[in-house]
Amino acid sequence: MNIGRSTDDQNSKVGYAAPDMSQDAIKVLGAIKRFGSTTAVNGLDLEIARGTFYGLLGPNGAGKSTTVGMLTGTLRPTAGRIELLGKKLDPDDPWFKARMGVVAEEAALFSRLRGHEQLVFSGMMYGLAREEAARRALALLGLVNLERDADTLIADYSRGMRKKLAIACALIHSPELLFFDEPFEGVDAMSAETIRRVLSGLCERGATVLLTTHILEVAEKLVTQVGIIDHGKLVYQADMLQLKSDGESLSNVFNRVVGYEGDTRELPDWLGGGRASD
Amino acid sequence: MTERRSPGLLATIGLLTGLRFRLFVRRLTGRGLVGTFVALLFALGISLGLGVGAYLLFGALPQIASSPVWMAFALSMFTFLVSLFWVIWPVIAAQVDEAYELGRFFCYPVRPVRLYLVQTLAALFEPSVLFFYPALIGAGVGLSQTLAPGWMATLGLMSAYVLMNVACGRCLQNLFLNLMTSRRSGEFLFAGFLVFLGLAAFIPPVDASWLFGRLSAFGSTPQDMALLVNTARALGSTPPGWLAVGLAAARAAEPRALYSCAALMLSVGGAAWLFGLWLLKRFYRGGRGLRLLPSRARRMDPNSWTGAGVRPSFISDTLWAVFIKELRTLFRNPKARLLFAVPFFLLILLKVIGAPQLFLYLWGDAWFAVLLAVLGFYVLAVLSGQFFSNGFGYDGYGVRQVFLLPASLRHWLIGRNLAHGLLALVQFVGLGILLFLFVPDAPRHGMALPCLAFPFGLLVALGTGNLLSINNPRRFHFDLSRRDRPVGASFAWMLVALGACVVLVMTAIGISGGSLVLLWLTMAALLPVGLFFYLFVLPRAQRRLSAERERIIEAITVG
Repeated sequence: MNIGRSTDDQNSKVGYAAPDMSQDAIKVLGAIKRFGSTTAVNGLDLEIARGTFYGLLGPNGAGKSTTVGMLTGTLRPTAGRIELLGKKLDPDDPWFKARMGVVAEEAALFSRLRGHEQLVFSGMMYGLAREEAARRALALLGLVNLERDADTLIADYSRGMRKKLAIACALIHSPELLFFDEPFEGVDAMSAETIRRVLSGLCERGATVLLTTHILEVAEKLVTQVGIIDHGKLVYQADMLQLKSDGESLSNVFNRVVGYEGDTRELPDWLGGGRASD
Repeated sequence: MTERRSPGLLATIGLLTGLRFRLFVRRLTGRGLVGTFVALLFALGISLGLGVGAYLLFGALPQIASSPVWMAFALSMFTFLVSLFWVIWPVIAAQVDEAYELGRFFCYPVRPVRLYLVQTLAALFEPSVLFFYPALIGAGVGLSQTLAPGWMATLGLMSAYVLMNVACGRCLQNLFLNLMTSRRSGEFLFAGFLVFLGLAAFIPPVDASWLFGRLSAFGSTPQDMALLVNTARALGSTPPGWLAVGLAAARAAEPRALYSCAALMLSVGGAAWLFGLWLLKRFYRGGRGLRLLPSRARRMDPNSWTGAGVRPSFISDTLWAVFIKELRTLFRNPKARLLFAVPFFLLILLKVIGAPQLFLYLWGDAWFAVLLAVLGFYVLAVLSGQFFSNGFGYDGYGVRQVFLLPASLRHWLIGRNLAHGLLALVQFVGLGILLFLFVPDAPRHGMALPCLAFPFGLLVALGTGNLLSINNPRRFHFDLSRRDRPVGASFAWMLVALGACVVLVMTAIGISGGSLVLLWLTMAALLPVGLFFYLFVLPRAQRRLSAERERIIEAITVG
């Protein structure tokens, strides 16, 4: 018996050589996700090349989080096919998880661990040796401005601090695929800038990042490609450089494709009356 | 870049066991040194008592040691009861904490089946086994002196028994998670309640009169012995009873029967384990563990009930608004639903097993009143521990509204108390009605005790809860996928307050001297005492709430 590493994971021991950039990092074909009678994702098709910083935008309830849930294996698609890094996704296969970093809407941290302990634990769960995990943990804590709170219990962290720690946990094993669901919510501007720099650097080195956000300014500044999802379908996709060179603003495009034409509802008298958009 | 690896089985066991141990120690030491010491001492005392008791039962009690029939009866009953508590423990002791939530580990490159295996193995060493292992060891040592099944057989069979119990416990816990966090948990509970109620109505209760009627002389007649044999046989055909059958087979040198029993227990454990794994994966893949379900679109009903039509004129609008809001919160809270339903299930269970005869034997004609009083105490203790003594715990970020909205803090406290009190009162009255329906001919002797002691205890619990909510605020979660323990200090103080109520009630009973009229009068006199206590505490709680707002907001909005 191989005590340190499991035998079924021997295949996973291949080094992270230069990735095949011609291959799609994420490929979704006709994905459908239903919850009872509600269809959250309705025939989604999506192809994202390696090294892309992709922003998945959409109004609340459009299916962004459900899409990320399916891509990370926490939700099983009702129908359709998902391929990650050229292989059909098997959510139970450690091969995929070893290559993924995930920051979900709600950070899955252990509140009675200290920040540093949580990072070391995450690193070791990703197969790093303790010393290496500790070394990376210190570096990441510095990057997200949490070094002074490294020995504080996570229970005492603010929401933003938890988010930053969850981001650090997702980065500790230098993943090839990063899924960030609303990563900058509650994160201070300084840390957000550092995280943006780190993510852009990772993309330049071949990693692929998919982030969902409803803050259009974040997407506009950060991503290289953008997709808009509405009612569970991808309704728009474009290269950011192309979009900018066309002189279009992301906000205009967004409003157009989701059919938002300003708020025309009448305001009640006690709120001044008139139309909401006046 | 990094070489891709995932931790091996032993590394995963080491990491997860280390994590659980660390979290357990942090939680334990969070009580403070004295609290930790008292908790440990208490647990060790019970543990030692169970071990010694089991040893004496099987090794030193002459009636059991000398009679194969009594031995078979006692052993099968023992294995049945140990299994029962072991399996339901994870559910009733609210043992799901972060280290048990497998959803937290799903992002790591470890197969779910391995994670679940590691979690199940780790359950062999969780704190609750402190009560079960000593009982089994005590029984094993005792049996070695009487039944003498042999050490190897005892060890092997008990290991299979332990694995079966642990696997079934995990399975039940996952089933519970699936049911309780479902959007239809209320309907499930109600359906389960109806089914259980139907069972209770149609299944004749177990006749236990023979046991309590002739306890002293029992076992001396052939009929009694036949009854014991039948009971032992019936229990021996259940999975826990296979341990008793296996031990008897070992004693009789029947290896075939012995191995069959061990194999059957392992099979049941294995099946439960697989079912538990399926349930768990279903739970997390369904998105419930991560709360990824999109919110169900609902058309807002502008005429939804606000209770405005039934507001008594002496209650102000703001107080009524707080009361309705709190009532809605309780009604939609899965924990409140569960706590509300549990004593009803308990009562039905008591009816099915024929417990009224036991109560009649123990408490005589007043058994009905005493049982209702005990149920009332249970209702108050459980609801107080979860809700009364941490009234703001479920508000989360909404707790800021308490200080931002122009309602007086007094209204917030009274509004909450009215809702909590109503819930407790409805539960108590419901239990009383169900008990009346179950045993319509039961004597009503001493009914003043529960009828008047409950509202008295309720007023004291609400008043004490107001202070404790402010002194020990802690975030409680709304759903059942995160199981919050009651705040230790608050729960202890609440028990002290209710204990004081019991002392007063007992004093009132003593004063009445057996006269029913006097009993009603003395118990009724307690009500103004309770009201005075509540009104005395209320302004103090209000002042403290105002002064401690910063600490309360900080504690409740964490996590």
